[in-house]
Amino acid sequence: MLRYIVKRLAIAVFVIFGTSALTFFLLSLTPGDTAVIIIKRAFVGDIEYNPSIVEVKATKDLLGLGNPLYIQYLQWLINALHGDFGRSYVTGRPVLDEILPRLNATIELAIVAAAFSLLVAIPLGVVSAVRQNSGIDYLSMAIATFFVAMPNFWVALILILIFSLYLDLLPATGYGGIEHLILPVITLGAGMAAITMRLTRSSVLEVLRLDYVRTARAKGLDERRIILRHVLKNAMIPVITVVGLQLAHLLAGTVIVETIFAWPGIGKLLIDSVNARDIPVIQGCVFFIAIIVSLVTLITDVIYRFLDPRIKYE
Amino acid sequence: MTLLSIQNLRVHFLTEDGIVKAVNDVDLVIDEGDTLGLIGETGCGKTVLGLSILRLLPKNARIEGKILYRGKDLLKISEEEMRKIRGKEIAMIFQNALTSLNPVLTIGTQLSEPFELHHGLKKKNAIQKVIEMLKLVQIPSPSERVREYPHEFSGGMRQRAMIAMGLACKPFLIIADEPTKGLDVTIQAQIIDLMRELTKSSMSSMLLITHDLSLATELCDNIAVMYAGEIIEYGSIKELFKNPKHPYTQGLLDSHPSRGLKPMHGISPSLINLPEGCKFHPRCALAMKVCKNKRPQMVEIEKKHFVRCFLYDYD
Amino acid sequence: MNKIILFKNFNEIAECWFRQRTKHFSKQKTLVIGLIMIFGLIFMAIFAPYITPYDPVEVNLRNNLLPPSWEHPFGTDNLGRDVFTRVIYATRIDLLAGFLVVGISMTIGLLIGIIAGYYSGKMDKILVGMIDTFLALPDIILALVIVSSLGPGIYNAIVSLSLFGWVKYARVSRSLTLSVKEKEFIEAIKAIGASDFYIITRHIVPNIIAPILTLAALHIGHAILSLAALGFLGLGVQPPMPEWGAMLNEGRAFLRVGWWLSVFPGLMIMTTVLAFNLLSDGLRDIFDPRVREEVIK
Repeated sequence: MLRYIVKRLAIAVFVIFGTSALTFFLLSLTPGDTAVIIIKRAFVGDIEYNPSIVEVKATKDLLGLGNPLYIQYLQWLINALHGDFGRSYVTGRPVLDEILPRLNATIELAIVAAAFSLLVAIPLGVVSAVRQNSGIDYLSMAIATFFVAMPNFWVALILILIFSLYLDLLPATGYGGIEHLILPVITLGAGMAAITMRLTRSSVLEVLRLDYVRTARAKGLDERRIILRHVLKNAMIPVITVVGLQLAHLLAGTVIVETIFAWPGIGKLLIDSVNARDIPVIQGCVFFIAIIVSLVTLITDVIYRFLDPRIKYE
Repeated sequence: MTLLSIQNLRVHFLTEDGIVKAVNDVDLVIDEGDTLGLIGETGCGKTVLGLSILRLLPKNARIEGKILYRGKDLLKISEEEMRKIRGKEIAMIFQNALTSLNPVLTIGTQLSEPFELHHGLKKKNAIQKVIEMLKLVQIPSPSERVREYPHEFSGGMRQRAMIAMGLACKPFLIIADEPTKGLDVTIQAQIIDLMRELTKSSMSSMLLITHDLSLATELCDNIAVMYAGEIIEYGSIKELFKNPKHPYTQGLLDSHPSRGLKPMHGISPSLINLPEGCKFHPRCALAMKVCKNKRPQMVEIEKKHFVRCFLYDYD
Repeated sequence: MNKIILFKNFNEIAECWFRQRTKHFSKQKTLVIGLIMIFGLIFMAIFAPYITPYDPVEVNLRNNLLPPSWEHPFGTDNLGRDVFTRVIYATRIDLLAGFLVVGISMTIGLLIGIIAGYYSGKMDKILVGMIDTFLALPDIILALVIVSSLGPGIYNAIVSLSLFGWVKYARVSRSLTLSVKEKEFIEAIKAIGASDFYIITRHIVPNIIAPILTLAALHIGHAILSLAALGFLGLGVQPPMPEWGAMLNEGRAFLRVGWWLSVFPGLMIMTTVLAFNLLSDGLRDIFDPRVREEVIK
């Protein structure tokens, strides 16, 4: 098991570097002279400013902008590993200072949304499977089918419409107490809950048909014990994998949700910097997002292997 | 003393392809201490019969008839009462030990459940009992094995574990469904020896469901031959081998390697489209006109030897 | 044998009989509903000018922010444009863009995946490494990166989504190709001198196309959601072109005074994605071997 973790860590590192290299390359395609942009935005702070040729050359030499692309990337990488991600074109502050405080907010949102989603989806999925074709089964399946197709930004707007504007129960934007957390969490978690619920249901249905459930019944076990002890662990195995993938997409969802609810997280930072063409910040954000996604995938993979004793001891 | 009496049992399944008539009008009696063999081809309904005793059939099953056990009709009692009987007074040993054991629970956990449930033991004490049971079924190093998972056991060991699980609470009736299927011949022999020992030493009755005649001869006192959901012959093991009366039983014996491996004509009928009259008549060399239209009744031709065939039914 | 006794009531006999007769049809229920919805959407897209009474881009400030009524079933937006008309016209863009993204992704993915699977070797390993890297991040993030360097606009959005969309097709077609390649009949055909091209086109592709198509159907839904998301963030289609996501973004500012600006375009997105999801479910039901109700023998 330990060897597996180490192997996955190595892969994760490779993936993070790969993604940041890819991003670096893609961002370098931005039209316009990077040196000029930097002078205008970061150094001088005036878009209208017209830098002289001397200034441009000096900047190029200073920042190594004349070097081939891969050298520039390596330079960035080395700096990054020392904690220097450059400075924002917009605020001039170090990128790390922009990102780190916002990381908290995003992680908070993501974790609560994931927890909410699992706490709703898994019990509902189990109940639907156990009471197959009942009223609650049809209802939850129908709701899930619709939610899977709903864009999360629409869900957000509807929620704001109902709970903020008409009912005036919850704030539409902002960051602070629990009341600010509720709507964003529901928005972010609903889609994932729908998918997880359907998967849980089908997984439990699959397991219920298997021979060993019949054996458990033949021993005289009651339904509750059968579900909790015999079915659940087995049924969760395929669900975990998908939940891991979902969590990665949850992060993508934060981009939109944070924008709508003015939640000060990495997602919003990413959008703002995309709109402002703040390349160092974009690069930094993607880097951290890649780290988070890789870690999440790794943890879910390990949990998956942990659950299934057939793989655990390989 | 009669332990279990099955009367007029009918089990039908509602499926997309039609109604599967797995068990049709079966009467069967199992006495105390008796080992009854239920012989038949794959797909003749014998496993369904076994499962219906414990009411372990899927939701699309429709059951009719009576299964009398100790004065109670098992088909009529509540689910809660049934659960008290399952595993404790009537236990079942299933075919495929690999799929019949839960892959994510240790052998110890699974085998201790009957003890925890029916004898009220705490886990620690139950595990002790499990170790004893594992010793009984001749699994080596049982105290280490209890912590292992099913996939770490060999095929033969798994089957022994299943047997141990069935015998745990010393049930009055054991239903064994093809307990040696899929095992190597040498392992089969070991399991047969084990089962013979265990049934001799305990007072329990056994319903052995199998298609393997040699297995039946090793373990059973009486045999019931099943075809297309019906019992077509019943008698003691000696009687049946000496004097098989039903053409199907004769064919079954003849197709055995020791008797010449003579195959039977035709294939067993689909349980959805059963033939009219005697279910065996399309394949029977001795079929008469009456066999096509009327269903023969069970007739006692000799003491405790019954046949369902118009060759012996003089009405 | 008296059947009636064994059934809980007459309904069960009828149901069993009915299910037998309609076994084939009920399997395709989801597929049919999905297809009907999709054809409806395509119809709307093609005949948009004929089924909508107004012009989608003409500004008419005197009629701005009118609630839904007979003249304007979905109301009007802040520039007085009829929302219903815009929603229908937006169908063209979102549907077409969705098809394009999936078409391009599927083609690239199939090509790369089949070649990687068929000619496995060093090339294959590099590709797998690349694929895993691409799969690490959600497609929107990477699309944002591309948009930030190349600028917003519908074409850039399509390009960026296709650029990362091909990966899952490549993965699936690669593993499927690998398993088909192992089968014996490939050896047999090679023995009679078939060329690689022949084998690939005549034998591998038909065998792997089914799950790929199911994947594609699901992907169209995702692609439309992603496109709408990009539009919502202002990075996709640019005004005044109508696009569902962009319309939602415009409606956001007027949520208090005009709920219809945001509700209806979102409803359309949901309906469209639902249609393709149903299609995908239906295809999967057809292509996978049906698991019947177990009958224990």
